[in-house]
Amino acid sequence: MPSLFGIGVSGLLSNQASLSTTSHNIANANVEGYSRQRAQHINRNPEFIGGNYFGNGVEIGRVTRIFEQTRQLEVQSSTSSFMELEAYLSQANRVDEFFADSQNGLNNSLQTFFSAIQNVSNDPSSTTARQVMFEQSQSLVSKFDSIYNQLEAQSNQINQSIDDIAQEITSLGKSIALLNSQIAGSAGQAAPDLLDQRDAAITRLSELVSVQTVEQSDGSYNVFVGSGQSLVVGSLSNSVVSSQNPQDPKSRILSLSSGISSIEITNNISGGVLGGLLAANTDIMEPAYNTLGRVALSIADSFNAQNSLGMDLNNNLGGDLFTDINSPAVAASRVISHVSNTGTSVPTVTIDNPSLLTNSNYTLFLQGGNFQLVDQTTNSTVSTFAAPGTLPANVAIASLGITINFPAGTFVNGDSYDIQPTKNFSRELSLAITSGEQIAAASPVRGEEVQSNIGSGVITGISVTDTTTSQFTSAANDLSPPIRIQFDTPPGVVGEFSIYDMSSGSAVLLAGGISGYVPNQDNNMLALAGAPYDAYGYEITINGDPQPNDQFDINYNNNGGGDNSNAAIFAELQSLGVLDNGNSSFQQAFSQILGTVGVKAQAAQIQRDAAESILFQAKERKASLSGVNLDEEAANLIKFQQAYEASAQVINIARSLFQTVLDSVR
Amino acid sequence: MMRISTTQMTNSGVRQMLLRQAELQHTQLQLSTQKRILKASDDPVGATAINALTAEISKLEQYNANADSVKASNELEESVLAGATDVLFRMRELAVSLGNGSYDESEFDSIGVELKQRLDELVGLANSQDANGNYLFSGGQVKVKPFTVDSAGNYQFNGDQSQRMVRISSGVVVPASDSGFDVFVKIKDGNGKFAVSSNSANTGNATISPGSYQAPPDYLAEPYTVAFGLNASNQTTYTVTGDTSGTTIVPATVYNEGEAISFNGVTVSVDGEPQVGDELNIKPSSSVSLFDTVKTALDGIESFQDGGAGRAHFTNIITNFQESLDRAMDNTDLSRGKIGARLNTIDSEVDTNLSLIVSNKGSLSDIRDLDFVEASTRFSQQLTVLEAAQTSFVRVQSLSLFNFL
Repeated sequence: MPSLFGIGVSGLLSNQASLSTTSHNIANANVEGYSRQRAQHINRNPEFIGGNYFGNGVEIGRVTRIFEQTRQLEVQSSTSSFMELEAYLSQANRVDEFFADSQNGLNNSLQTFFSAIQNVSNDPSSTTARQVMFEQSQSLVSKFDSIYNQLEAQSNQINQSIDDIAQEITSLGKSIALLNSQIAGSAGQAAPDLLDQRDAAITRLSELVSVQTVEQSDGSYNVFVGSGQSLVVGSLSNSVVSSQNPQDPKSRILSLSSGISSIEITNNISGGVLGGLLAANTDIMEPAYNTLGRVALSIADSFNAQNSLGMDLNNNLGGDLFTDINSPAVAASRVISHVSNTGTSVPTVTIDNPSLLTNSNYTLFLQGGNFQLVDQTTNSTVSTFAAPGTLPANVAIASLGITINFPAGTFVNGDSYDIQPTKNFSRELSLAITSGEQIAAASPVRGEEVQSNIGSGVITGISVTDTTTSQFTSAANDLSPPIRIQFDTPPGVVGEFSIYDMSSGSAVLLAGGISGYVPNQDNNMLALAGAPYDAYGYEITINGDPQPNDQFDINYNNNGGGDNSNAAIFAELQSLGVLDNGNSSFQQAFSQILGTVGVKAQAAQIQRDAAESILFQAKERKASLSGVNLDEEAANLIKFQQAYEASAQVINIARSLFQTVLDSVR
Repeated sequence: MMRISTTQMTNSGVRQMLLRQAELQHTQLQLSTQKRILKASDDPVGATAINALTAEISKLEQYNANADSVKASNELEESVLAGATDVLFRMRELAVSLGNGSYDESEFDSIGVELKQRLDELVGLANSQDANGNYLFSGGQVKVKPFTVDSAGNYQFNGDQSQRMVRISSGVVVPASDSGFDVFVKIKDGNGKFAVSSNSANTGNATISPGSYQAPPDYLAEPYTVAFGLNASNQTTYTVTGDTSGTTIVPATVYNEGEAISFNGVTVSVDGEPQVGDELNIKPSSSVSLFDTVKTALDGIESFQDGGAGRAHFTNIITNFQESLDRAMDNTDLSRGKIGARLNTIDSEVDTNLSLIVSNKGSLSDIRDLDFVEASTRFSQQLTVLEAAQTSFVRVQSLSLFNFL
């Protein structure tokens, strides 16, 4: 017969163990990732006495955690997707908010700038209107600069976060490896609390990056991040290192380092905050920089070009209004040479046609004597060309509107360059004029019909296309030469004209015989005159019916401060399609990025909300199995207390039975 | 039976409250800003449309600001030209008086005095400045006084022929100014096709009518001279010669007083008794400034000599003056007509712009602005829901078996 004492004591001990496990559960009720534990009661093997099996009390089998691996995996993967979208969304929202802010948005500055231009056009001789336009140009430049700075600050924060996260991933890897070795090395059953700790570390890791785990026979986990890069193998861990991108010092690359070797894994990273930040970098930040730069570029290009075609208030030819988009410094800033390059010919990039520019950055590399230009957004080769034989050389990439200029030097196969045609221009943009008087509101060419004219010929248009011709550059504040267009005799024959040089006397430049003038329609006189007159850099349009000896004088527009011909063209630039292959105006191009970021933020918001509820459900499922319910534990306390008390009674009964026996023999 | 952990109960209660609070805060922000779209991601299409509409509205408002400025300058010009028209009317009366054959030199002189005064008045008008001190009629050279007298007493136009154009709507550009060249200088003298004059050395008293011209061609090929002589039978004859070509257009023809002389589209009639060697000139009209036209008349008055030949020469000058003055009045009327048309265009474009602004603002409001009633209702619903979530959370949380131990 088993001993009543023995059975009673086994009950006491087992229920005490359960009470302590229950207390442990209660104590850990609010610990993140804690799985409730149960002390398993096992009835002891019976004794066979007298043909019967007699129960022999109870013993504690194992203390286990209530846990299901699939529910944990679900939590890990939904954590990764949620955190990725959350991080992406918060970056998108930042850009979204400061781009859209109507008070501070660029569109507002552009509008004020164009209003100032209109006022100069309305009253071109007013120095006040010019000063206002000068100041508005200044504030437009500052606006570009400040938006660029905001973007840059955001980029820096993203880079900082990437650095921090890489460190945290490394240290989590170390903790997991340590836990692995403790779990694998534990005598018998691994401690449930260690398992919980390891799961918590892996869950935290999945907040940072997507994680896969493979359980080994000894109970340790091999942990892989991204698309299968092994962070932890058994008790060994690798480190994730964030470092400056050698192609672009402003961005980061990630590599997995085992201490001996290191491989780059930037493109393999997905999920988690890290995945979200990397995606935001390529999806939101780069297009934002590039669109901003593109708008700045085309503003500078259009206004520089137009201002040089005009004449300022001091009778001088206009110059650049903003930074020259192709100045050597700016052209050089568009190319980043890879740190490991050995060639000495570091190319620069000049912009030929801003309307063909895109939001992409490009990689240029030399392989087998051929340069390849790869679009980083689409990863497709846009151009392949043989390395120029003699340097310096210029290679125009017509489809992109850029020219790559190779200075004297050498190339070496394997050299590669990052080409950012537009990214930094919004920072480079500055004002090239120092006062409002330098705004070239007037046309530099004046055309006048001579008073003695008999016919009805009138000058209907003067257009200036190029002020770098010798006509404009040979003498300051003068045309070289000023010309006279004179319609010729004989009487009755119209349609022929001569051109005279009016600089001294009236030397004949073109002695008649130019036919083709059609009365009463617009005639481009210099085009009719042909070479070299059609390359003077300006064109005179005459309409009507001029008679023989009727004359039209073309001069430099000295004192033409009240002329607004050029300022009127400035004002028209507002609605002109100068971007996206001629399809977008400045404001439209900028609105596009606003729309694009908005759509991306909206999509991310919807996905994030969905991911959030999936994550919540996954956590619910895990908690419903593994979480501590205090009411349940209270009931258990009562249950085990009662069993404990009952076991104590068994001992009491055993004692009184034993006493009875003693008493009977006394 | 679904098992629920205690943390889970707290978490889901808290989550619900957080979600409700986020919704409530969004509505509250909408209510306090009165905007439906708080950031582009709330409605990317709407946000882009808001941008486009705002830009469009500012552009239209700028067009109207432009229109105001163009209107002011055109109205100023119109008032100057109205003054000029009054002066021209008086000049026309004076010109008619000058044609009075019974007046003598002293009467002509006193008319000349007034004519000179009127001329100065007219030049003053043509040299008008705007509020900024810019000359109205000097084209692009607004700081240059457009009309001055040179040492020979002739009127010079110092400006240029450019016109300031200002855009007042997406499709319409109107001039903000007229060059003095177009208003005061580019006036074809005589009858508009040709001007007649007589040689001051004439000894006869032939006068020539302003005449008329029948196209084609549109223009006289060259200046012509009508020269008088005698034929074999001692009759007065006239010969018409082309000055440039030197060819004889009309060979010697017997002159009959008052009879029309016609050639190459030109028809004039000559009165009086020309003497041998007398010449009348017919030249194609060219632009003569209004001031020079008046000055020619003043010179004529100054050099007036009574007597048959002198009076005939004077009559010819005045005839041409009257004709030219009529051209000048036509030209002023034309300029004023253009300004009137511009002002009409400006008014109608401003109206169109305004109605576009109203409709764009309507669209903008539809997209951007908050439906206040809907939002307030939503706000109170969300408030109720949040309160319910809070109350139930507290009630559920207070349930614990431990309370009964």
